[in-house]
Amino acid sequence: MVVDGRRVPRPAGSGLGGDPAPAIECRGVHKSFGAAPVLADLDLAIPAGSISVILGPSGTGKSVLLKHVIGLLRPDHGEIDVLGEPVSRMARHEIWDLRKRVGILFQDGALFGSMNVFDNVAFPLRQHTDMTETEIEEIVLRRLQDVGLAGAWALMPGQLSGGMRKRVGFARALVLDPEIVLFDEPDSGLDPVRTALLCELILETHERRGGTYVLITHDILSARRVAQFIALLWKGQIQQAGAIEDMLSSEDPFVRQFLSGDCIGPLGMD
Amino acid sequence: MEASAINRKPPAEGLLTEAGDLVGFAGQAFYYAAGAGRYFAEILRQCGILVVGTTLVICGMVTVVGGECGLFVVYGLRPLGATSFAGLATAICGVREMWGYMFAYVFAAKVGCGLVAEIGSMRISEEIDALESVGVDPMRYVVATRLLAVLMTVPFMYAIAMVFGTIGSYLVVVVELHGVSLGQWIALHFSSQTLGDNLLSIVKVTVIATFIALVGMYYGYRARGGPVGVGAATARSMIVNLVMIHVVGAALTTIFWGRSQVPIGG
Amino acid sequence: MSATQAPVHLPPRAPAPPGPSLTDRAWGLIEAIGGVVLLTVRSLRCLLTPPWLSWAPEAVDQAWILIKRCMIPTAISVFVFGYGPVGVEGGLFFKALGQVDRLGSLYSVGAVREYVPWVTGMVVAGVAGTAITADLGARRVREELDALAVMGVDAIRTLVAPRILALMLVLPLLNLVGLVFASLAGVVVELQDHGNFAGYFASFQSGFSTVDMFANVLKTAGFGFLVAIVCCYRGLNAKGGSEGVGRAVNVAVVHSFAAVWLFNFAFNAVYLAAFPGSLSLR
Repeated sequence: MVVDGRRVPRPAGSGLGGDPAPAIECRGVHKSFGAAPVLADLDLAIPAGSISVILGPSGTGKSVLLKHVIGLLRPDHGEIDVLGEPVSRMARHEIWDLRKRVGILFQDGALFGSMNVFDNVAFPLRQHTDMTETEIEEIVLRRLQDVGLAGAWALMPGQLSGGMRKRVGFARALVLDPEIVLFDEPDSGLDPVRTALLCELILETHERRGGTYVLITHDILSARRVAQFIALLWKGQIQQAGAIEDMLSSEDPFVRQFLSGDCIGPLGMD
Repeated sequence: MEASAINRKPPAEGLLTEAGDLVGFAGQAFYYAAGAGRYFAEILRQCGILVVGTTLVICGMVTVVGGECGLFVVYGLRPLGATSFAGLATAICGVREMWGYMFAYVFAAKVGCGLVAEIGSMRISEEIDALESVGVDPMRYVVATRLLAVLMTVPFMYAIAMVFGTIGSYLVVVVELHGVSLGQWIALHFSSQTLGDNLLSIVKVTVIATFIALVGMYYGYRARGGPVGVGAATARSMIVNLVMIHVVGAALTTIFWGRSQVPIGG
Repeated sequence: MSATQAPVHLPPRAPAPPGPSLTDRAWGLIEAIGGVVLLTVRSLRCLLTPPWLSWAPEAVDQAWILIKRCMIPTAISVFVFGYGPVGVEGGLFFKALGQVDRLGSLYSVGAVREYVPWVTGMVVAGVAGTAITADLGARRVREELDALAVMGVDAIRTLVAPRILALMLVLPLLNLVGLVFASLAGVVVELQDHGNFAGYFASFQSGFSTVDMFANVLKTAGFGFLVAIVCCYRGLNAKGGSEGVGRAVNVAVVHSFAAVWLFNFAFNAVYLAAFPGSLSLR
């Protein structure tokens, strides 16, 4: 993580193995755009140190929830605490500091189109740390090697495929060694094989670096692959949440239908 | 993602809300411009893009409008037997009005629309959200830097364009239509331009260019809804820009030259 | 962290592919012009072959949308331009010559001939041109045009030809409305300079000529055609998502502005050469 412009190793107790205080906590969050409420009285506690997946049918507000966590949106009512800080009530300039501790991978990578891959990944380092160019080069290259794109450092985002863009976005999200990493539908637009490879990458990175990962997706296969904790989002609320073993063996018809991808059950086309 | 909210406010209220939002955005842009010095590299890069992309087209088109001025002037003065005043008329027509308007039109088309397109697609592809999430204020890094780039480059680009406007007038008045001799045209054209007039002209163009850039960035920053959204934002920004060019241009003309005298007869 | 491992260096950069050369750009321009000509020919063929008047409902719709969108911006722009640059600068000349009462002729000649078609052309090119390009571009990028083609519907007959007609019809109409506002601006300037109505209207009438009006209508119809064809071409050939649409609109506006100016200049030069007396202020 970054403290006073220098990278320092993360203190013990925030790595793997679970931690009593949840990394992200939402209490009674309510958000609507126009007349329709997208999030309605939502309660959620994401455990620290593990990989969590927020599952839900398309268009249920998963991305909106993600944007609340990072402070890009504010709830109409309710509170959100991230790493103990009350994000929903912080002033804009206070959130800047918090964002250095949270990395986010946007849906299509959201790379900066005017810079090449290297500059994209180096951007947070150049902005927030006092490192020399040599140190930055080393860190960036290592991140790129982790995601398997070291040879593509000079390419522009427009020259990359969708999967490559996501991997570069992942590298950029990791470069400040954040405590929380958020993934907005990381498997969208990828074929099953590449999705599986991306899941492997997420698992490997989490094993090596620790931290809290939160994935937003509607792909049950990926969820089964990586999740240690699952929350189901439907009709603006978390219907069920828990460790993956408990969810997979749950008797609740909604949970069973969604986790098995079945047509029969409480969920319909609407 | 977000549910789209259909705006059902009455048109007048919607217009006022938009105008207020635009003014607020412009104010923010200037406020953040104060702190944008740390992104000086980005400012320079934007200057480079502006200069390389726009200067040639502007100079070409200002030449054409200079020629247009000349055309009008010669045919207007000929029946009055006053073609010896051609130099005076092209100077006033060009410096105070036409070169500025032509610059503004090209600027609105190339830079105004370009900004909406560029920033709009940055917004749609979540690049602006990504900047915020990485802890960099997009108002500073994207908007304020471009504003400063415009303020820095437009006076110089317009100064160069003025040369081309003069060339255009010369080509039509002297070379093509033989309205007046070269010496006479040059004498009057340059002696009737005061330094003050030229500076005011540059100020007028810089003000209009700043408006255009702010409007373009506003519509780009607030774009949403994929390709359709970006297209609609571009169309709307052009409407605002075109009306505003004329309104601000006329206002500045009246303020700067409403009470001045024509240098005829001493 | 870094002390225990060997320093890492960036692998060599792959050579960048060469950018478009001058000949590529020139060829691109020729292709674009060719494409525009082809589109014109196809549209004409749609207009002049059966099923007759299939383009009429869409053309009427488009014309109405155009009028709704462009009327107020044009009116404001023309009035303001007439008050400011023309009124102030022209007024200066007339005051210096002691001829304030004859300001009307400046408006009837200058307005009709020059600045009203000019400003109307600019506003419509900006407002309608962007709208057309954005609309067609978004349809192209969403593959709606492909869907239409698969259903056997000719995009040129249903989309392009009506828009060309609509613009060729609406621009002269807007121009006429603009003339009214320009004259109004002249009245305001006249009153401000302590002239009088009678002198204004007398000199306005004497400066007015029917040939000028016809030339005016022809010129603005030409503007409409150019704007429509350039913007439709750019919209139909947009590619690359929202960024592509934005780029297409940008290029379309710049090119349609350039086309309007060049046409304006050429038309004026030819007209004034043919009717040299038409610019004198009677």
